[in-house]
Order: sequence, then C-alpha cells, then structure tokens
Amino acid sequence: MTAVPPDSVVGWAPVDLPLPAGHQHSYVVLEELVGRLALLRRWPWPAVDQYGRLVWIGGSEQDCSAAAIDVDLLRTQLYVPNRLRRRPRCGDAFAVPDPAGGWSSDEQEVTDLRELFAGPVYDISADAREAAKLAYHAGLGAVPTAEKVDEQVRAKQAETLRARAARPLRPLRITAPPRGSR
Amino acid sequence: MTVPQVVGPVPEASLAPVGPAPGSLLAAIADDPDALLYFLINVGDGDAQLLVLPPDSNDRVRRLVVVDVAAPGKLPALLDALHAAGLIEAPGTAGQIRLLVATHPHFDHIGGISDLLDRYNGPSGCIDQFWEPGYIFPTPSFHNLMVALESSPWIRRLQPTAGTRLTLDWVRLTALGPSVGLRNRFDTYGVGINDSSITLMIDYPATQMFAQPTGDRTDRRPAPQPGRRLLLGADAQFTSWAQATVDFPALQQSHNATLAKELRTAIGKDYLSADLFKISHHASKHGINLELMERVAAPIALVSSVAGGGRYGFPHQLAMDAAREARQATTTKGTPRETDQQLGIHVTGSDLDSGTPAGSIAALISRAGGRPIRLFRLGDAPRTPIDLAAAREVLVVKPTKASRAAKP
Repeated sequence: MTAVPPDSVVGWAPVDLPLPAGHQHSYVVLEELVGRLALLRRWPWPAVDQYGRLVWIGGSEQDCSAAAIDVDLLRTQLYVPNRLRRRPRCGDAFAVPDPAGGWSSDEQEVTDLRELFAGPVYDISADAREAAKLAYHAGLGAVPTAEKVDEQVRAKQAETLRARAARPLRPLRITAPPRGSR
Repeated sequence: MTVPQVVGPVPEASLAPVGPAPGSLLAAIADDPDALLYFLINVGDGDAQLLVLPPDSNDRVRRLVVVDVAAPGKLPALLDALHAAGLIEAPGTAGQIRLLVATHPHFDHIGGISDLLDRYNGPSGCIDQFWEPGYIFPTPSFHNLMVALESSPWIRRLQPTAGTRLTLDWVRLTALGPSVGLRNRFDTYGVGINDSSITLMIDYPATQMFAQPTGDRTDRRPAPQPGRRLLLGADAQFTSWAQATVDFPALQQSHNATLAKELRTAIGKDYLSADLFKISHHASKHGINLELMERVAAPIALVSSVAGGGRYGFPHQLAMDAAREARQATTTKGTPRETDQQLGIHVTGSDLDSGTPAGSIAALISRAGGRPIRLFRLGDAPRTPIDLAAAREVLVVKPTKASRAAKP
C-alpha cells in the first residue's frame, strides 16, 4: 500500500462540505450496479498529503466494508426525497458521519437504507468526482504551482469556490422504505 | 437472496491426474518452449490475468503482460513461482512487465494494482507501459493508483481506444474497446463504467513475414499464419460490444459480398473471432449475448467468477446459456445439452465433484498454428497461492456430432 507518514497529512475537506477537525466520517461510494442491486462500499475518510493528493493512510484502501441494496429502494429512500434528479449511478459518493450496522465484509443485502446510515448523509459526488479528476490529471502531466497559473484562471476559480462555499451541503434525509417493499 | 446454481461441479474424470515433478504444466512448457502462456487467476468475482510472453527473439527472455489485478498478493506469488521454475527473471527486473492494463477502475479489477506497483515499480523500469481507459472514478483504489503513477514518470501511459495496436515481438495486442465514440462520453458520465473497459484481442504469433536466405542474399517473404487469438473481454457490456461490432464489422454481409470477400482476403479472419474468449463481466446477464458469442465462436470460453451463489449471481444463467447455445444449438431441435467441459466452458470458481477447488486456469498456446490450446486447472482457492506443480490438464473431450453441427 502507499505509505504516507501520518504527520504529513490533514483530513480532506470537500469544498461543499467543510468538516471540523477530528471528525470520523465514512467515505461511501456507489461502486457498481448489477441488475437490480447497487453495491455500496465504505472506507475511512481520506486525508490530504503535502502535495494536495487524497490518500488513505496505512493501506486503508483494503479496509472497506460493503453492502448491497435494491437500486429502486436506494432511489426511493435517498434520491427522491432529497430531489436528487439523477438515478443512482456508479461513482456517486457520500459523507456519512454515523454508519449503521448493516455493513459487512461480504456485501450482504439490506432491505432498508437505514441499516446503513443511522444519521445524516451528505451527497459529496461533485467534490469526489472533482478530486478524482484532479488526481487523474496530476498523474498525466505537470502540476504547476498557483503562481504559474494565469491570473484570470485563478480569479475565476476563487469566484467558483466562494459561490460553492456560500451554499454548503445540507444533510440528506432518508425516508422509510415503501410499505410492502420487504 | 437465493441464487440458482448454474454451474455444476467439474468431474474429476475431466482432468488428468497431477503429473510427476515438476508437474504437467511445467512439463508441457518444457516440451513447447516457445508457447505463449495465459493465466486467468481464481480471485472469486474479479479479474487478474497474466500473459507470459514467448521468449523474445533477441534475448530469449520471457516478459509479461498483466491485465487487471483484483486483489493483493496472489499475482506476485504466481510471479515468484514462475521465477522459481526458471520461466521468468526475478520479479521486478527492469523491463519485465512490458504492459500493465487496468481495464477499468472497479475495485474487483484494480484493487491489487497498488500492491503490484509497491512491489515492483521503481526507477529501474520494471513496468514499461500502463494502459487505462481514462475513466475517472472516486474510489481509494483509483486515487492510490493515480498517486503511484504521478510519482512514476518512467511508466509510459496510454489511454487506448478501439484499433490501438501494440506488437511485442511475437505477440500483438489490439484494443477492441472502448470505441472513440464511448471515450468521448466519459467526462459527462454518459457511459457506464463497465462499458469503459479496455477489451483486448491477443494474436499469437503475430508475425506475418519471414526471412529466407537464398544464395548470396536474403529475401523477405509474407507468411500469413493461422495464429491463435485470445479475446479478453474485461467487464464490457452491451454498449461496448455494440460499438465493437460497428468498428470491427462482420465479414459475411450478404448485402456486400464483394467487400466481405476482400476484407477476408486482407485480414484472414473475422475481426472478432477468437480461439479463447475470457467472457466479459464474470458472465453477468448484461455482459454477453448469443449473437456476440456466435460471432466470436471461441472453442474455449472462460469465466472469472465464483461458480454461482455470489451476491450478484455470477455467472448468470442467461450468459451461461448463451455461451452454451453458441457452442451447441439445442433450443431449436431440443438436442440434449452437452456438459460445460465438452463445450469448452470453464469457470475459475468451480469446484471439482470431490469438493476441492478446480482453481485458476492456465492456457498454453503453441506457436505452431495446428496445435490445440492446452488448458490446465491449478486447484487453488481464491485466497490461496498457486502451486504450479499441482496443475492438472483439462482432458480434451471430442465434440459430438450434435455440437459439431451447431458450429456457427
């Protein structure tokens, strides 16, 4: 695993979801859709190393648990009530402060999303995808420092960040599964 | 959830006994030292594949192509075993891995690549090229892989699309997918991650010419050979295969017989036909269909999955039936179905009827076009290392009259 000295990292703070130091959120990704099932994987929260890269310290990439849920149920309990206008898709990512006990090492299916998320859930898909895209491009070519980037680009980026910071993410609510869905 | 069992146990009688030391696989390699070796490693529902290239024509060293590494540990252990058997140089040797392919960034395909890079990557240049489709995915495996690549400028990176070709001495790799059309939709997530998969056609031998000394000079002659072809389907699903059939058209089109004839003369075979097909997406019901299987028409079809009963029901009844029907058409005439072993269909996660794992699959592909591909089962469970000496050869079961008649 990629060895990163713990003292050189800080917890990742998505632009849309500023997090306090010392939080214990989980990082959850919709990994795969197979037929009617969605596979969710849960990892420890990532850190950011001295170069600005997301890292999972100490080999925690393999330290994941998973769960499967009917994709329609996921949509009904999480996406629809929060007006997420897309269908669940691979790569959707969530910050979860209080994971529940339904996670396992062998991808057990749950019949109620509340078996996975005991408290609030935050949709960090945009931030997560952006971070992955930045990681991808950093691996492909040069990573210039800010002073070497055009002033106009920096100004535009600062404006975008201000706008996003003014609209922080609200916690998503999870509804009960429809009657008879079990 | 109860999942029907769609794959039966492998009869002990369909495998030869374990051979005397050094084992039947290593003995077969010694008998055919120029063969290409292909390993489909038993990692449960996931992919880890290794091509041990034939000895290089310049220095007689066997080098490697790695296609996906689902989990840490098992592939490196296999490399250690191959080195101990004298087949490859010490793992990590400069230039040893000519190509590392991450077909797409799902955990069950790249979950072990960081481990592989931690072991063998370095400025000495063990890994020459790295191919990935260019699909961005926000998981730790993806981030760790990108971090490793960012600090490995000696690895050449490529995002191949359909038609990209790489020839490594005797072996040619051609990307059949993703198509350019799919690639250009990645950034908007208009393509599912499975359909971003790099699908590969492997040709061996790829050489189409030879040098012939005649008196005081040497002439170069064309030598079209009926080489063997391996199609590695990654997790490609309908969208990807549909694009592949556009980019690599069928050659027997009744509406343009002249074009079809000329194409066949030019390339020799249907673009998609293969001798061995690693069925895509662990034989999920969305990975393949009958039409694709008929066009590929591979006498050997391999599936990398548990043998039914997993969370997703891999391999799926529909996919397995398509693979079977393509080998032996029974649904029209009601002919009794032959066994998977007779039809050349093998699943990494299958158990023997004695209850032990049939295990990883090794294929030995001879350079001589007329010799059949030889298959071996290695008897390992998903989390146990491969013992090359434990290999048992898959006995060739002659097709019946019914299955011969069904050949497309």
